Amino acid sequence: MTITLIGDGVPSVPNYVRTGAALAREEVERAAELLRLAADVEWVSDLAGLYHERLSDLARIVTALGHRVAVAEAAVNTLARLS
Amino acid sequence: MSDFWVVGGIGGTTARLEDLDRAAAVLSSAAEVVRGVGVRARVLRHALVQTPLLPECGHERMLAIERVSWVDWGPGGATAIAWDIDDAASNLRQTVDLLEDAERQSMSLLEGLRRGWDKTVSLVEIGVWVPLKVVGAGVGFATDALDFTPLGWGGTGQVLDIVGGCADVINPDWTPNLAPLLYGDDLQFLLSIAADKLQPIIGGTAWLAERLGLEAPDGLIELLAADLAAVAIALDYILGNPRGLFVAPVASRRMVPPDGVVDVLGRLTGLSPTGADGPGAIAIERIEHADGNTAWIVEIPGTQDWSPDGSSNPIDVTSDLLLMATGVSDLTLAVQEAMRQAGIPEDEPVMIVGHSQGGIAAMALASDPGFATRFDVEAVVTAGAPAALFDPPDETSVLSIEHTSDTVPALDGKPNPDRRNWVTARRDLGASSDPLDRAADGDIVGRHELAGYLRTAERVDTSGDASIRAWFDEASPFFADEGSTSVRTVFEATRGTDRPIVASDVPAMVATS
Repeated sequence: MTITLIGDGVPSVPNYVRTGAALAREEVERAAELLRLAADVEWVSDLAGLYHERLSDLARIVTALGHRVAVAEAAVNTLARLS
Repeated sequence: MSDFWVVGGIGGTTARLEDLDRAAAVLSSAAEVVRGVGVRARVLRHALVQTPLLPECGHERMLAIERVSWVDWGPGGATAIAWDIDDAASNLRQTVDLLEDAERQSMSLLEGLRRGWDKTVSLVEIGVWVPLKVVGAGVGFATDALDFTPLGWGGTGQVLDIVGGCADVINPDWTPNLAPLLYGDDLQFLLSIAADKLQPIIGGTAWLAERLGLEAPDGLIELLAADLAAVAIALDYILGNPRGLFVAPVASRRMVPPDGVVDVLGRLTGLSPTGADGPGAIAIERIEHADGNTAWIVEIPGTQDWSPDGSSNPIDVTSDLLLMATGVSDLTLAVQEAMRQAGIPEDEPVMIVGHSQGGIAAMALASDPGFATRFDVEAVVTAGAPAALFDPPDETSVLSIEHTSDTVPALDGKPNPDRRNWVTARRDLGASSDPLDRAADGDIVGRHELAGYLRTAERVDTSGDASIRAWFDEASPFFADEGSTSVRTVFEATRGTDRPIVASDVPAMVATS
């Protein structure tokens, strides 16, 4: 049996963790884009006023989520560089 | 509170349902994506905990675990946000459902009208028209003819009660007298019966107008529709002769193109029975712009003859009833014929303007898909017309002007729909600072008169409301600009002539300065 060794044998952060963090960031960007799309419908109304207010709130918290994801991604990347 | 307000149009209060539905679907997608972020964060956290790492990375590992956990932690975490977005989508869907329910109920009312109409058509056609034809043909009252007589009157009395007077006359017991009634002086007797029968309809309609909310029972709607339709048909088939409609241009002259809604509605003043253009007149104005583009304005006045006798003037109460019941009348036929004679091409923009019955005719024509294949109706202006019964296409920009105390626009039994392409300017004359308005408000006729609507049109012209300004933008081809000129031609429509509707002896139109 032939054993093939990949890498230097030192334990490290798997690639999927790093790419996963990056993907999470892209997903948050996608969600923000969808929220913008939901706000961009062809109507103007009192109902739309309330609804746009709600969408603005959601957009704000998704932006905050994006910040959390960016911080997490940075921490994962730092760990990956060290390991 | 102001005496003038605007509903619908670009600044309206109702969204298009399909937009709402699409927005709800997009929100659900956003929720799924965010939920996926939460799942991913949990997977990453698990991987970071489980992955063997060098001991010197312990602090960074803890930091990464903490920060990845933070992504899905608490009310600001991904899963919680996904629920928030789901909640918004759900609320929006409920709104869509409510609006769709309201629309379905409205359609149910309209369907009730149609059912009433269809039922009455079949009953009257079989029960009245056929025996009349048989009798009129001189077949007499043989058994075969009696087979066609309206034996169903008793059973359908609740539907056709309104034509009870007419029905009595055509009752089999009366049948021997039918022929002389039809052709002799006793026709006036029938007319007087019909006139009497119209009063409860008008009263009943006003009563119903107050109650034609979504809760109105279908049966009531059917009854009214049947009443209206029965009278219309009775007048049409039995009492009147709407055929033999003759349309011809009678005068043509150069004008300054209109500068606003006051000018457009003001044109209708000349079309009143006492106006310069005379009774039975409609007009078509051709506007030529300096850039070579051409636009057309079709002007239709309100009811001019209140006798339900199918007289020579097709702008009468018979046309009113037929328009409300069917969307077609001698007036709409006359307008179409005038437009054909004017040579309006199918690709040049048309605005139809009407007061009262003229507004009904304008909406009926603009909402007729067949008419739309021949003419490009880009704008409609109605004043004091029950317009809500019609469903004009999205491409037609409608401006409806209504006085709150005017019962005529309320005859449709519901407010005009709030649509992007439909602006309704409403005004409370009683709250106006103008003594002329307040005086008009105290008079049931004055509330409906064109003069009052012209004063309200001044408010429309000077309004800064976004919906109204957007309507003016879309209707700009119909208003004066630098170097534009126009020619207005008056057509006279006459009913009951022996001449064909397509008159071969129509004189050529000549524009005179």
